[in-house]
Amino acid sequence: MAKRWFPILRSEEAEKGHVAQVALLGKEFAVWRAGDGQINVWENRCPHRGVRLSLGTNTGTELKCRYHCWRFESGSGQCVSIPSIPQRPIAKAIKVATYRCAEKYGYVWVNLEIDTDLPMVSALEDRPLTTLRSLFTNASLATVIESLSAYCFLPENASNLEEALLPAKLSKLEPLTFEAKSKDTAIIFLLQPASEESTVIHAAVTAALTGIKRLTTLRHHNERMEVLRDLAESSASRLKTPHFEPAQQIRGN
Amino acid sequence: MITLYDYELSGNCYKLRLLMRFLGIEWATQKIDFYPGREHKADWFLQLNPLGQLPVIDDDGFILRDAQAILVYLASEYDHNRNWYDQNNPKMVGRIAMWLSFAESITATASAARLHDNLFYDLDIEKCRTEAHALFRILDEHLWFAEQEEQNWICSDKNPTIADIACFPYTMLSEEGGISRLPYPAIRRWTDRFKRIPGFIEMPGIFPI
Repeated sequence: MAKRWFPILRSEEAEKGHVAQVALLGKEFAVWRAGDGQINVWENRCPHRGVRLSLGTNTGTELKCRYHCWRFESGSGQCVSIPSIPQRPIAKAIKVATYRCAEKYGYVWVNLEIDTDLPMVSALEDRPLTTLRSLFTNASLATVIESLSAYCFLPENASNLEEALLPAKLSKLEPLTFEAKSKDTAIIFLLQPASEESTVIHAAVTAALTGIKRLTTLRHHNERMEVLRDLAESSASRLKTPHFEPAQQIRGN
Repeated sequence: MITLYDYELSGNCYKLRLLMRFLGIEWATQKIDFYPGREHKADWFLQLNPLGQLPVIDDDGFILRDAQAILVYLASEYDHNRNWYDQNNPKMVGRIAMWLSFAESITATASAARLHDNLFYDLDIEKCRTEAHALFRILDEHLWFAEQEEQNWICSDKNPTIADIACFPYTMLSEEGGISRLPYPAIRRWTDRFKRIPGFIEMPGIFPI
């Protein structure tokens, strides 16, 4: 599972000056963009005392840990400043664990294994895209995938509102990539398994939208995706409910 | 001179310290031993606030309780630019009142979870956390769509209002009650923006940017 590219954040949400906190496969990552635009995906843990780096400060060139202000440089993750011992050279071994990352199709992607290729989703290649609001969902990847077939939305050229109630035609493009199509409108789902019990649902419409049209589409799909999330979460909580009768209470004498 | 009956670890008292700092108002602090002393339940304090809650202010004899009410009063009385609470704009007044009430719900859930975990209050902790998460989903969605329209704040595209101040502390302290903000990326960006407001001050558990 780990040996592939995962989408973890919409690119525009990796704001300069910010450190995003992201989960993937039960691990946490600090994601930050340097002033020169470089994106960093790091283990969310300072190598000094283990504090979450997502609590720290993005200085534009370095990420500064909240606890003892050690600074780690963009790109390499190398420690470049330890304020308590300013005179001493810093060992090369003092370094944050960094991961291979890329930006494509409007998302930040990470690969936890060494891999030479860039992320590639053929359905998104050379297509105009509008990325939608990603939803953190308290349900496993498998449960989310099961729920996807219930996704329905109002297609571009709908003749009436009832068409929003017809389930879209779902196809699996890749293990974590799905397409839901209604009439001529397609939405691509990109799934991020955050942990065994949670999944982030990313989605994009294959059309370049602007202005009011874009906002209306964002709101419509957000509303539909929240219905999808409710469905996945209620199946997840049903799965958690034990399927046995409570034992009869035994009265002691 | 304003006197603030204050407890350092209280997010509700912190709301008033923030606004007074943003507005550049001088104030005097009357420290209340909330924990473990329970001074807010002492007879003399109940004379000031029969609810036995912090904060309370005394502005030259004008006594007012309730963090949200005090935010409205201080902004109306001392913010002559009407940035923090534009009482001449009825829609803005309505929106701000809506989010002040939302902030009160954050207090009833996320802050309650923190009191349970840190000051040993006897509460249904799972219920507090579940309800806080439900509120944070609503706030995250609201802020995400605000960002899409280049609006950085809860009620206004131009500047923060007392609605932002009211929602900030107990959102920012949620992890002290076991409520992670990892699922709420738009809330995390908004708290960063909040910390960059000129005059921002900290409280224990809330760090500068």
